[in-house]
Amino acid sequence: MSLFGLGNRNQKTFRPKKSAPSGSKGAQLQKHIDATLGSGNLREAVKLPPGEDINEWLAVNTVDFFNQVNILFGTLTEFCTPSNCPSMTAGPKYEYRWADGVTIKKPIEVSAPKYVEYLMDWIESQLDDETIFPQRLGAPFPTNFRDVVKTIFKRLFRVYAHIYHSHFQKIVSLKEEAHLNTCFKHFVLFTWEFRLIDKVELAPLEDLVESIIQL
Amino acid sequence: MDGYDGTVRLGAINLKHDRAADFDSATAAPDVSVSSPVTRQKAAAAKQFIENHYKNYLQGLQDRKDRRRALQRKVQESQVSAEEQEEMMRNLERRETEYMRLQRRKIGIDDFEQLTVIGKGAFGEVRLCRAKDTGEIFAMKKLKKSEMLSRGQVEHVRSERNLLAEVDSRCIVKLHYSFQDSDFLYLIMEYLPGGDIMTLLMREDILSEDVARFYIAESILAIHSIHQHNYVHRDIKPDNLILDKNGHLKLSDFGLCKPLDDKYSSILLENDDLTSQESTSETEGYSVSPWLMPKEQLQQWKRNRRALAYSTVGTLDYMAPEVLLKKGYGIECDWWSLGAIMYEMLIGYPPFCSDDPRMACRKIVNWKTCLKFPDEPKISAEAKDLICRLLCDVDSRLGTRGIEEIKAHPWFKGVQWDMLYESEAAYKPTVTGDLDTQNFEKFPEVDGPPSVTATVGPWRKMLTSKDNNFIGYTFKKSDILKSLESSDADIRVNGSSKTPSLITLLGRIDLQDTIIPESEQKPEA
Repeated sequence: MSLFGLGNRNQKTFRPKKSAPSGSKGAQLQKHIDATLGSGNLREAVKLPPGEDINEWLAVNTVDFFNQVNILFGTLTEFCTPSNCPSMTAGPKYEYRWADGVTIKKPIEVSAPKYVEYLMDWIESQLDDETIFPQRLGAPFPTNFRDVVKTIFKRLFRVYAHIYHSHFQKIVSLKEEAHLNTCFKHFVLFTWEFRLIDKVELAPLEDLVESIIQL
Repeated sequence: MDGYDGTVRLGAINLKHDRAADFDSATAAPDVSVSSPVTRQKAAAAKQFIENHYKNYLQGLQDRKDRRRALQRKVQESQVSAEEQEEMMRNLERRETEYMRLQRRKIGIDDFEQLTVIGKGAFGEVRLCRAKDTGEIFAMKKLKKSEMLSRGQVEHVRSERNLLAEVDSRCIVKLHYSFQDSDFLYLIMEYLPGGDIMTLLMREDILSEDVARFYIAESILAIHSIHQHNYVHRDIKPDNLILDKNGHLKLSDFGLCKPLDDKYSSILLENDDLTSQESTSETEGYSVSPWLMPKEQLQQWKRNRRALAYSTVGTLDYMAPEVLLKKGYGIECDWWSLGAIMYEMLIGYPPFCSDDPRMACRKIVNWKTCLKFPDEPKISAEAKDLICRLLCDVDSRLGTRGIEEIKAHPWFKGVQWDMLYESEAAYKPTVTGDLDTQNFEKFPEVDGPPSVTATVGPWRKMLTSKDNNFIGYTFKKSDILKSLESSDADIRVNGSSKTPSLITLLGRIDLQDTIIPESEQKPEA
């Protein structure tokens, strides 16, 4: 399948329209990937390098995916407002409520931008926590590290789901769809490689995810 | 924990219908309304950030594979036992893991101890600093965001950071980290204690042709290394040519000088005057050659020269005519600048210098009339010829058809281009210890190390929303190769690599750094 394609199957959940073709920037991105990996295959890029510690690999990629989601969502703040997105939805069937289990124990309904702000602040606090993501050389990862990573990935997926369902046309008009698609594809392949998100959680973008995962 | 944020399915038919209708409406009539300039700027920065990320990420994976394959090959050829082979592989793996951890470590101002100021200007300052964890000495370039924004310097800042992050060459000052807080941008760069060519020229007045040849040759390699990455410096001048402790030259921009587009515009408001010779007095004015100026006037120019280096205007004396005239320029404009520097090295003054920046511009644009050589000091015919082939029209300028035509010029006869940076430098700066700043101008500590008023967190807001002009500014350079070189040394020396503790590992690296200067100092003593 094409790196930038969304698959040929009929999309039941939504039909993203590429009203504008990818610009030269998208071509540059493809060129970078092709030049380095030959076929532009991100599938190889997600695999654990030989001899690498699994937790270290999860950690460095978690930071990267966090940065990507953060910077992509940052381009939509003009459109993703409390009035436009009064709740954090992913299409007509899914709505997310926020709770972090610490300061907000009972899930509350918040607008999408508020949800994302809570979410990104929470993730950053996890990344900054030396007892979870150790930065000093030699400091060990906690025994529950993978569980923390899985929760982070599950919640990051929701931002992608919201973007694809609610703001994809804006992404297209800003000529960012190649970048969004590449980041999301990388995200899905990585989460699939290490089984970081339960399949049921991927339902809002089920067809898109399936088209990425299948070879 | 799942119970706290489970997915909630909406069962209300009306609500579902409404949202579905909204979605269909969005699909049926895609909204292509114009987004705001801020949003488009954020999108452009985000795309650049993502492209840079994948470029570096994938290249990093490839480099890692290459390192592993190279070590495997070396191990098989080294005739060591299977146990020792396995030990070497584990050693590499441990270093790769450590490097990966360093990649996600945040770097900020609190990681550095700020020391002596070595440069100060309108946009900020350059300061010696020490990394708190390793003790390594760097130069910290600190730029005021507010000044960058108000003076239209955002693109220059981004360009410099991108160039330094992309070009990894021994001819270019190394960028190790870049980061920001709410008030400042920071570039943590290699410290070059030898000072700059401007200071050298002010001290020496003129250089011998042998010394000048050495530094012009190293400048050619430095300029070429950024041209190879499709960058045009556009502002090559003695202030930007820095010497390391051994006297080798690196291209940088320590002077905090950035020619202002606004300044260009104001100068070029008199665009017609630049090319006309309407009045006799003007003709006489800009035809005066530097050595015919009164001695006091030349001394004044020299005093102004240093002040200009740290001002927002900078100096235009080395700028190519096509840059000044904004007629569109390519890499050739950097070779013109080199010609002007060469003239100054041998004659003692730039060929078109003047107290008045506008007069200097007129001289440059009218170079055919104004480029002259004094009877003293005498320079060789080859040197004069080379200068004239650099200070000329773009079409006939050396370098326009490639670097080889400059290298082939007779003045460079005998230059071993491949060995320049390995050979002994033509000039050896006096440097005493790692913290020595005697080759830089002294600056008073008027306010001392700045108090912690700038806010740093949360980190991601520095990355995106708060300062969309400086999205993606953070950068960390890999030091893995340095670490691996010591690994190679282990193999050569011992035939096998021990497994040092982390403290020993870091200590050994430090020890290695300190050994080299000592051994170098012995011959001098």
